[in-house]
Amino acid sequence: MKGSVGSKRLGATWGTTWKRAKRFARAFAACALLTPLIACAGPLSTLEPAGPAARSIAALWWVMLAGATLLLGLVICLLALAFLRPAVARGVPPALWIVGGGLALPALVLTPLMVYALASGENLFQARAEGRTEVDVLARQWEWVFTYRSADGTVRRSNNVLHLTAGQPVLLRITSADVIHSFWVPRLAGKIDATPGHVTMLRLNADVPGRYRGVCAEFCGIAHRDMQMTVEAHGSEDETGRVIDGLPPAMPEDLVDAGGRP
Amino acid sequence: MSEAVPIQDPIRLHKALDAVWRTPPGVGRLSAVNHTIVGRRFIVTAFVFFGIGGLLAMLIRAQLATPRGVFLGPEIYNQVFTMHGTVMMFLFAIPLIEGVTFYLLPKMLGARDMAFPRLSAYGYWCYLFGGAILIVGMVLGVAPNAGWFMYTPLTSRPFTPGINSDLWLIGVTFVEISALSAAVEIIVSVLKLRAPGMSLDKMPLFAWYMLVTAFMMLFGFPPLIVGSVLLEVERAFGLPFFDPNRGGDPILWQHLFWLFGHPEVYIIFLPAAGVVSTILPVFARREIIGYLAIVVSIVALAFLSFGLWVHHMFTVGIPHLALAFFSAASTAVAIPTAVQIFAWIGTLFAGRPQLRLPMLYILGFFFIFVTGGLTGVMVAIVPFNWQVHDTHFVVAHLHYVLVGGFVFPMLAATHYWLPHFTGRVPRVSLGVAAFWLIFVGFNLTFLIMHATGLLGMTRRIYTYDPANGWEWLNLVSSIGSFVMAIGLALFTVDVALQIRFGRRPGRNPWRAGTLEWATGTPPPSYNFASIPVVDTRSPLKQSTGLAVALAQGRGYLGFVRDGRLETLGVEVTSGQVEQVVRLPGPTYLPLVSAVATAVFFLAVLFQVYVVAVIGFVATIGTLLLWTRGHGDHADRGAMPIGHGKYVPSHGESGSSPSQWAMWIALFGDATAFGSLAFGSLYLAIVAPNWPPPQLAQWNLLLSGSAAAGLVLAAIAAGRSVSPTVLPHAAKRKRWLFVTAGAHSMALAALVGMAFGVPAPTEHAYGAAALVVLCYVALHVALGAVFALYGLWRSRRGFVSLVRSSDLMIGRAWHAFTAAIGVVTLLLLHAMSWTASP
Amino acid sequence: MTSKQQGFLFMALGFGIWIAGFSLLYAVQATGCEFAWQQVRLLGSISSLHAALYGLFAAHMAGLLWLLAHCRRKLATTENGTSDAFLWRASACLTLAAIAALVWIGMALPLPSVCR
Repeated sequence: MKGSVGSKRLGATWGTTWKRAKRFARAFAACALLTPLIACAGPLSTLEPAGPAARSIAALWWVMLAGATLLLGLVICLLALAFLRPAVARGVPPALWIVGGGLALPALVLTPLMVYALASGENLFQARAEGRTEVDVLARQWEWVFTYRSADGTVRRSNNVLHLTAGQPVLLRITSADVIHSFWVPRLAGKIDATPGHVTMLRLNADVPGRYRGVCAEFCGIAHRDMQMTVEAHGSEDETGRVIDGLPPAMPEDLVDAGGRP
Repeated sequence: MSEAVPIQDPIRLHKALDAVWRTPPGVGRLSAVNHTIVGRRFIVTAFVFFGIGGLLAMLIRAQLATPRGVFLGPEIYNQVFTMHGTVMMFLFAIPLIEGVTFYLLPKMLGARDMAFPRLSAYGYWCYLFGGAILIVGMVLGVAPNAGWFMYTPLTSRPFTPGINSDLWLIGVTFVEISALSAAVEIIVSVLKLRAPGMSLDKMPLFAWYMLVTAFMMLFGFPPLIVGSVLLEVERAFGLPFFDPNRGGDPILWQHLFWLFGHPEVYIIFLPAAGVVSTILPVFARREIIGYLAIVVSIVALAFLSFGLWVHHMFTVGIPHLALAFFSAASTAVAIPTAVQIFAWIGTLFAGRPQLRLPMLYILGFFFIFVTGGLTGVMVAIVPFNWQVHDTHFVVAHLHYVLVGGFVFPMLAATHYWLPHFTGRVPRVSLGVAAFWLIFVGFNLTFLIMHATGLLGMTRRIYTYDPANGWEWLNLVSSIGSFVMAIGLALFTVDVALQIRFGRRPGRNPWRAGTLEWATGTPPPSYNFASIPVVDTRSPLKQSTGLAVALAQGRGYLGFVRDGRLETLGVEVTSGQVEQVVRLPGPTYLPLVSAVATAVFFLAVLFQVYVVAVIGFVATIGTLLLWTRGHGDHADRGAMPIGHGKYVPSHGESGSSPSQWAMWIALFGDATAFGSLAFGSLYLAIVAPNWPPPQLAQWNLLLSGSAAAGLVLAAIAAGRSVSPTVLPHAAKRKRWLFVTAGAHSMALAALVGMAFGVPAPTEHAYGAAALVVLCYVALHVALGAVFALYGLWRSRRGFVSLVRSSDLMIGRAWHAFTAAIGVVTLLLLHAMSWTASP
Repeated sequence: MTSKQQGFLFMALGFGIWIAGFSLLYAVQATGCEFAWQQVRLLGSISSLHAALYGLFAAHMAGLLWLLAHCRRKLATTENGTSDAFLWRASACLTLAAIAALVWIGMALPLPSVCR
């Protein structure tokens, strides 16, 4: 009966409310082997989120870590028992192993996870459309060019530094002038590719003013490692506006153009 | 015809069989086609490449051990990580699977060889030569340097002008010939070459695993080969399939690559799981539980794995609904995997498990693979994937899956079957120490690498700043990797000691139930002196005297007839004996054909296309030579196989292995064509910079003649094998002439159409149209060759009403060619329609 | 393929329908987005793209249900313990699994982000 008992307990864990799961996950992570080695903080750490998107994904991680550790523990305990105390489960009929362990257990774990993941993914996708301001991002070997359109029609650019206002979501329209790159500011949001011929969207939002580091995540040639950038989240819209007004005008080759089709 | 009298004396029987089956010594070894020898060569060569790949991994870990490392520069580092992935995937994992399968499968199935021994030998040479091209490139410092998945446009001519990318495309495609030929051969061998009585439900699970894996290879590799050919054509001739400025799309490469790349993971995992399903019950000392559930779950896993490819592309910018399909399919694979894991655990509980060395590796497999599976579910979750994609988290995950799911079972397999290879078991074992070094080293390296990735370290960066908080993690990973390397070195020493100094335990040291332990150890060239009747899943458990009885010639075919190599063929599902399969002996032809193929690939690499054409023609020519001396000039009827039973030879059975091979190969071919058609439509619908500046004005006379020629060839070929025509040489000749003529007409029309394709280098529209036309034209040209070959065989007296195999094979080809030809013509007209503004 | 080999062939059929359905769902979604079918509304709020996807889902589900019934019929008429019975039982299990897999990916269908 081992398998079915384990799955009931697990099902209960997954079914509990979000907060309890989170507290449980944190407590579990504290005991995990990994913890002594990790200080979760770091300039590129996904585990020190500074924006809503990154935060919801970090929470997802802690829940999944707890669930995965439990499942791994279950398998290891069963294997240990099979060698040390085989009598405890010798009478379990084969069908119960297959149906209980092979079908019911993963189904019970995966169903809530999948529903939660679809919902959280959908939130992130919906949010993409809601940027108050838009910035165009052009990736090219090996730099990032950000272009800002002001109300008076002038277009200004900054290289490798993106200016935005803390608490104000910005919609990025991203493409590449040469090979595929990937735009990633780990503390703010997940990554999205910059592909020549296509424009991709990403919403970026920083909770508090500060500097957040970003990198190119897709291998893009010899200087891939050096293709880094910084997001500067300013305290107010006025401040951001002033900084942008001081930027040089954009050149025609800095503008995003994706060749007819989106 | 000599008399087929069973030889009862084991020594005389051994001498008689060995005389026809053995491979000559000295230079004659190059003519080996025997599955034991070819399998061993694959295995040894694959482990040599594993060593090379491992050394490259050591270089990577040495470079990353400390921040701002100056050991390797970025250029060398890029070559090193690209080659590490390429060597491990294409030159180690897949060939090792082929080797293990070639070696074990016939012995487990109760056959004397694989269905097409020369094809396995040819595959081996292709693998060796293709691998050598890549390694020589690396030694010369021009190895591929754009990552093992070769994303365009980084790998296109403007961004990688050197020979680096060409080496990858050509070397890997050359090696993949061996994977495709192995796929066909494994399928046919499992389906047709089994011991009498071994119905599908009595097959050892390993055979089920390999049957499913081989089908996956058959459908998985063609998209990669098509992608590689397209990219090489773009690089060499400027046809823009992946260039967004000219109507191509770099995302198309990702689809084609991962259409192969994701099934590839399961192609690597399933054989290893087959090894676990074979070894674990032996040490649990009982039969595996859930045989049916396991068969069902591996078939389900195989199909599901073809619905996952986009989960490598979650950050490309694909809409959420599509990502959700792939995310759901990716999490679904956890279920068939869990079924197998719990079947194994249940088997352990139900038996009396023993912790012998192979079992220790299997426990290591459980821990590592389950961990990898769990992180696999995590990366299948779309939002989480956005964070960890292209970071060291994914590096850690994939090593957990591949090392846990493949290397550990293979190390278990090495210890388990080494006594079979050598006839020796170890006196003193370093194996346990080696296991713990490998296990601890592996986890030290990769467990904390998950954290490195979560802290933001991306893949493929050659150095990093100390301020990121990754120093300790990387240093520990590097130390762990060296511990693991020491463990693997110790493992090698242990194996060498066992081969040299082990003691001889006699047959079946593990008391296993599968038939491979009924052969002598090391196995004789013919495997079984006579062929058993099987009516249980563990024949050796059922009857302990089986091995001796077989050696005494008390099974089927306990004799040598006409100095020929004979084994038995069965009906696919029931395992009823159906035919005597007569196999070829040692020959240099596979080597000759492989050299001709190497000439072709090298000529393409160095862009000497005249030589390439010569190499291609020589390859086809030498392949046709393989048929010389095979087949009968007269119907011989049923032949005795012992115990008063008579069955026809394979040529007269109406269901010969070569016919099956052609049908199965055409499935792979259809997949390649499908990939090409998918690519063309994908570009027409999705790629930027469409519509093209100029559309083709197809001449209806030309497309009409092409269609008429294709259909006529198929009909005429069908007539040539109809029962009213087949017995009459003159009628056969007439219809085969019509087939060849119709192909010539279709070929001329297709070439005419190709000239009407507008500016193929200026837009992907023309490029796609040209390539699809060439694909069909190649089939038509080969169709003409097949028809003429049929004529020649017919004239030489190899064809009769019952000996129709040669013509049946041709007919399948002609029908297939007609089908893809007609689809192509429709596709070309549809593309003009889709692309019109 | 003789009638003997049917059970073996049917082992591939259930998931064959699944993979066909899966590929078609993805292909129609991508093509529909390219031609902006999601903006063409049918019957109130359902876009023609969503309708096409639901239609595909239903068609493949119907195929699978028929297949399941067929496999079960065959299994009932096959002698127990034979290799044929094994193959038909495996086919039935695989069809059931394919139905579950289709429902599983069908969970994504109601998502509103069909084209972004």
